[in-house]
Amino acid sequence: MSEKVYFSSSLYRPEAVQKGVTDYSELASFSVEEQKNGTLVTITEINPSFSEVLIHHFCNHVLNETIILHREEKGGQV
Amino acid sequence: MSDENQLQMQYDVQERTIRCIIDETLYPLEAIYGASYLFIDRCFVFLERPEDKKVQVSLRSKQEASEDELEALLGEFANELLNQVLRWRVSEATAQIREYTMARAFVSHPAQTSIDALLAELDAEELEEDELEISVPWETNDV
Repeated sequence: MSEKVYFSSSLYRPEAVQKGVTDYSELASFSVEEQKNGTLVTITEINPSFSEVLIHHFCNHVLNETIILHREEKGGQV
Repeated sequence: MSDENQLQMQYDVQERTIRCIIDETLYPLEAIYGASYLFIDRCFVFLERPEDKKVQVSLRSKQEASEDELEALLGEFANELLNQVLRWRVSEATAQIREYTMARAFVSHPAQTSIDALLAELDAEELEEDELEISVPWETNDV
């Protein structure tokens, strides 16, 4: 079973998506495909213990990383 | 749809998730990020771009939640969104005065240095009065 999540590049930073993939790589398998307006992440082999919540936690993590990067770029900190 | 309804935020509730579309011309991305950041520990937040200048925000409760609870969650998010817009606008409006204050802080630094230089000069003069630079207690001078 696989799940797909599309992160619009106007809202999510590709570096943040990549960091999320790296941080969650022990809990599932991820494949990342850069598209014209965003990044498509396909998640497979999700650890059964986290199958219901992993995707949501992963998306929260990517958003958190995006906001941190955005604020750092603006000269501030979270 | 009545005029009264048009003033309300349109939303959609589905399986522990509530979604609404935010107009980026009214709520800048900074404000959406600011509100989202504060809600990340309370619920799952996901952003999508359904069309240009529109952001769809999905708030998914971390535990079972009734429709009323989800509506309350969205209401709090909307309030926080307004709060963040205000903070952002105040920050933009006061940027110049903050820069001015910072500049003043740097300008005052050399003045402090000159006071230190004057004090050092005074100390040097006091030492010059005593050729051997030996401090003599005042009681000894009276003898």
